[in-house]
Amino acid sequence: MLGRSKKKKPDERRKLRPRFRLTGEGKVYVFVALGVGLAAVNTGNNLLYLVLGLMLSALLVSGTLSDLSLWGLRIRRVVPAQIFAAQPAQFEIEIRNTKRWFSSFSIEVEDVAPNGEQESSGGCFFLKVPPKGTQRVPYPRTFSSRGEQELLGFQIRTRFPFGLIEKGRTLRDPATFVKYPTPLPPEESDGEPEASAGDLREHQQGLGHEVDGIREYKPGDDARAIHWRRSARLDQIVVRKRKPDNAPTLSFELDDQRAVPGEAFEHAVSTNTGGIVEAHRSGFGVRFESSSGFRHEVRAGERVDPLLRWLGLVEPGTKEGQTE
Amino acid sequence: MTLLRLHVLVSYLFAGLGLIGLSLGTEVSTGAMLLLAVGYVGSLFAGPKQWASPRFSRFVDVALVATLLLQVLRGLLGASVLPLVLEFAGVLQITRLIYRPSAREYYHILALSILHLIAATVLTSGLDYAAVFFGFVLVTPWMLAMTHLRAEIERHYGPSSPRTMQRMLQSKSVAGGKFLGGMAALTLPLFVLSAAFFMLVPRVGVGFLDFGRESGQQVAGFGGNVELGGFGTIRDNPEVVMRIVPAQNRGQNQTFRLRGTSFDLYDGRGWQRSNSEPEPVRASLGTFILRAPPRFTERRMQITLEPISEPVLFLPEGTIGVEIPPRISEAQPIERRLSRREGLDIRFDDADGMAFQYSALIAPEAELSERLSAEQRELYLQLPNGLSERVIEQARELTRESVSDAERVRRILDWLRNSGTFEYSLTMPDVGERDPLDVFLFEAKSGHCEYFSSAFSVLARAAGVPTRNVTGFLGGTYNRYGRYYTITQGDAHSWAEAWVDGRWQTVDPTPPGRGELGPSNNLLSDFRAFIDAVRARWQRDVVGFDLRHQTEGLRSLYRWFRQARGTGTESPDQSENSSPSAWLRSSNPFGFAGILALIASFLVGGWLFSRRSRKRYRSEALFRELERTLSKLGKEVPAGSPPMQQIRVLEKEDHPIANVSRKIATLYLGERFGDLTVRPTEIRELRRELRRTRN
Repeated sequence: MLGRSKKKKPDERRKLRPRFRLTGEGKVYVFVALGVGLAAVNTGNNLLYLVLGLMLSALLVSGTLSDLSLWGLRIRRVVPAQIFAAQPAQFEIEIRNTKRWFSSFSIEVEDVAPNGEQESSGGCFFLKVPPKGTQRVPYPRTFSSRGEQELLGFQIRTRFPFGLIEKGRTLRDPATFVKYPTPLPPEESDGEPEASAGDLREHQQGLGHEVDGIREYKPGDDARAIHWRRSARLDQIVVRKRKPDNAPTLSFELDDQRAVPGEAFEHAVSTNTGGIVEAHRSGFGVRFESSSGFRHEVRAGERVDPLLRWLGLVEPGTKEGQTE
Repeated sequence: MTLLRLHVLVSYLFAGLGLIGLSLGTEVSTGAMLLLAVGYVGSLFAGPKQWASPRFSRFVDVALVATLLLQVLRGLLGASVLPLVLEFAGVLQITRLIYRPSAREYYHILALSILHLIAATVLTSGLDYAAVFFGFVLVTPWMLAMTHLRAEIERHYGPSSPRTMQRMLQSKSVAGGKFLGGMAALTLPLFVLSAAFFMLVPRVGVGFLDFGRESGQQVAGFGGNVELGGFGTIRDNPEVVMRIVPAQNRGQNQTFRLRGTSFDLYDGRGWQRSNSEPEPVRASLGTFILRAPPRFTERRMQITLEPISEPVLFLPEGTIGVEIPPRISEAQPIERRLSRREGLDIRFDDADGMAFQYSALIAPEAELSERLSAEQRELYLQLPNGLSERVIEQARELTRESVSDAERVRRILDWLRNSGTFEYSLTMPDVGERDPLDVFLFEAKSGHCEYFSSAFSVLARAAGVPTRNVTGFLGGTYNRYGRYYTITQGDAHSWAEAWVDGRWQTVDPTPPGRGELGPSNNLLSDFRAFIDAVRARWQRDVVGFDLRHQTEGLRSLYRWFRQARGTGTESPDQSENSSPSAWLRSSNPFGFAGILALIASFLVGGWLFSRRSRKRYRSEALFRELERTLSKLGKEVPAGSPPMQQIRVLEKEDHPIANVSRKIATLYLGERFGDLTVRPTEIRELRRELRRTRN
C-alpha cells in the first residue's frame, strides 16, 4: 500500500518525552488545596488537614491512573491509498488496548508531523477502549502541497480519571508517503484522444473489457472492479482481472526541463494530474511524457499511482530522463 | 443506567453531602436548612427545556443576586456573619443544581461541595463530620471521573456532532458496573493516602486564624450553685461525659465514683460554693500533687473528659496526684495549669474545647493529712435561717443517743438509705414555695440523689457533724468495642462528705434503687457503645492528633519497620509490643473487620451491578456449553470469527455435532440479535441432544 506506515513490532516503538501538565481544572484544584493547606497550618484544625489529605491523594491517584490508562496501548495509522494536495484525505487511527482487565478511557491521539509543519492533525478521541479491544477512528487531513510527507509518530494523552492532570507520551512510528498534486480540471489542449467518439462512449461506461480471472484486492484498485459475490464466498476481497485491450489512450505532456519553480509549473502539474485522473476514471488509457524524458503509459484498468507518484515528486529543471 | 443519569445521580449525592456538611453544628438555622432542602429536591425538576430558555437562566441569576443582597442586608441589620455566609453558599449550590446544562456547571457543583466540606470543619469536629467526610471519600472518585468524562464528550463531540454527543451521554456501556466498581475501589487508596498525608504533614500551626473552639456539652451541677431538682431528670441521658481506662480488671463490671466539686452553703432551696481564692496546684516531675507526693506505686486510671461547660477535673476516690500531658499549640508544648479552691474543687485553666485527657494516681491507703480549721468547721456546719423545724427535730431524734460523729453519721445514713422509709425516684411533687427538704423527708419520701445527699448533709450539720454536698459521677459501662468504661450524663450523681475521725469521708445516702433506673442494656445501647468507640477513636486519632502524636506515631512506625527487617535493638518487652504480628494482634479487630467489609461491599456491589447492567440471555449458557464442547473436540470457534462459519465447516465435514450446533447457534443468535423468545423447554431439549451427541 502506498504510504502505509512501516509495520513495526509494538515492542520496537520507543516511548519518548512523557508529558505531564495540570489542566485548567487541575490548576484551580491545586490552588484550592494550597488554600486548605495554608488554613490547616494556620489554624491547626485537624479536619482541614484531613481535607488536604483527601485533595492531595486524589491528585496522586489521578496521576497514577492516567498512566494506567495509557499503559498497554498499541496504535496504528492507516494511510489512505491516494492523497492529493489540498484535498481532505481520510486517515485512520487504530488503537488496541492490550490490557487484560482495564479499559482505557478518554484517550486523545495526535498524528505528529515534523516540527514546524502545519499539517498536524486535530487528534482522534477514544472515549473508551475496552480490555483486549480495538477501535478505529477516521480523521480527515488536508495537506497544502504535493511532495513527500513524513509523519513522526503519535502523541497520546489522557486526562482520565479526574481531569486534573494531563499525561501524555509520544510513540515513535515514522511513516513516509507521497502527496499527489492537486487535480485541477484539464485544459482542452492538454490531451488529444486517439479514439473515435463512439469508442469513447463505450469506454466511459467502463464496461466491455474482457475479464481474465480474479486477483486479490490491492489498495488503489477501483472499487467497481471488486467481485463482491466471489469476495463473500472466499472471505477476502478480490477484484476482476482484465485482459489488456485496445482501449483509446489520452496523451499528456509536461515541460519540466525548462520550467522554473513557481505557480505556473505547479499549475501545469496539477492540470496534468486532473486530466490523468479523469481519463483513468473514464476508462481511457493514459500516455504521459515529460520534456526531461520521463515516459509512462497506463492502460485502461491498470493502476495509475506510479504516474501520480512521479507527478507528486517532480521538480522543474529535471535533467535525467526516465522511462517506465 | 445511562452515563447522563448516573452523573446526575452522583452529582446530587455529592452536592447533598456538601449541604449536609453545611448543616452540621448549629450555625445554619433549621428554617434555612429546610429551604435549602426544598430547593435541592425542586432542582431535580429543572431540565433541558427550562435551560434552553434565556429567561430561566436570567431568573436564576436574579434570584442569586437577590439572595446576596438579602444576606448583606441581614448582615447590616446585625445578623451573625457566619450563618449568612453558609446560607448563601448553600443557595449558590442550589442555583447550580437548578441550572446545569453542561459539564461546566457540574464542575461548579463539585467545587462548591468541596468548599462546603471545608466550611464544615469549622462547624463541628464530631462523628457527624467523620460520616460526611467518608461519604466524600466514597463519592469523590465517581463525581470527578464522571464529570471529566462528560466534559470530554462535550469537548470532542459537542461542537461538531451534537447527535453523537447525545448518543455518548445516553450510552449505558461507558460507565457500567465495572467502571463504578473500579472507581469505588479507588476509595481504598484514597483513604490510605489521605491518612498518610494526614499523618505526615507537620503540625506546626501558627495560630493566625483559629476556629473550632467548642463550648462543650452542658453538664449541670458543677458550676457555682445547684438548685435542688436539677439532676434526676438526666438519669436516662446517654451522652458520654468521660471515658475511663482503669489500670486493671478491664472488661469486668465496675462502678466508678468520680468526684467533681463540693458545695458548702445551703440556702434552703439549693447549694452554693462560698467564694474562695483559687490556688495553683503544684506540679512536680510532671505530676500535679493534690494530696501527697507520688511514690510511683499508685494505681493509674486514665480518664478522657469530653469538652464540658465547666472545666472541672473529675477524680476517683483516693487520688493523690494527676498527670496531664502538655497541650500542643503552635508546635510548642504548653504545660497545663490546675487551680484548687475550697472543698477540693480542682479545675483546669485552659480549656480548649477539645477532649481533655489525664491520669489519676490512686493510693486509697495513703496517709493523708487533712485539716479542718475552726473557720472551715463553722462553714461546713452552716444551716439556712428558715430551715424547717421538723428537719432539725428529726436530726436530733436520729442522733439522740449517739456518742460520736461516726455514729451520728451512721444513724442518719441508715435512716435515709436502709430503713425502707425512702425510695429512689426521678419524679418529685412540685414543692412550690415550701422547703423542698421538708417535703422530701416528711411527705413525698422519695426523690433522686440530690435530695438524699442534701437531706443527709443538712441532717448531719443539724447534728453537729461538718458535712458538704458533693457532685460527680457514679457508674460506668464497659464498652467492649473501645475497651474502656463510659460515664454518661445519666451517671451524674450527688452524695455527701462528712468530717469524721479527722478526715473527709464519703457518705452516699441514696438507696440502691438508683441503679435500676439507668439506661437499659439492649441492642440500641450496644449500637450506641459501638458509635461511641468510633467517636472516641475519631476524637483521639483525628481531631486530637497533634505534634506529639505525630512524633510518637513516626517513632513507632520506625520501630515497626526495624522490627520487620529484623534489625531492631529494642528490649524484649518493647519488641513484643512493636513487632508487626503483635501490632496486628493488638490492633482493634473491629477496624480490620470494617475495612474488609468495606472492600468486600465494593467488590460485591460492583459484581452485582455488573450482573445487573449486562442483559442475560436464556440460551447463553447452552451456547457456552456448545463452545466448550467444540473446544474439547478440537473444533473450537476461532477467535474473531462468527460461530456460523465454524458450523459450516462442520457441516462440510459431515461432523455428527454439526446439526445440533447449528440449532443451538441459531437459537442463541436469534435470541440475542433477533428478539426471539426462547422457551426453557427448547433449551432443555437441545442441551439433552448436545450431550447425547457428544457422548
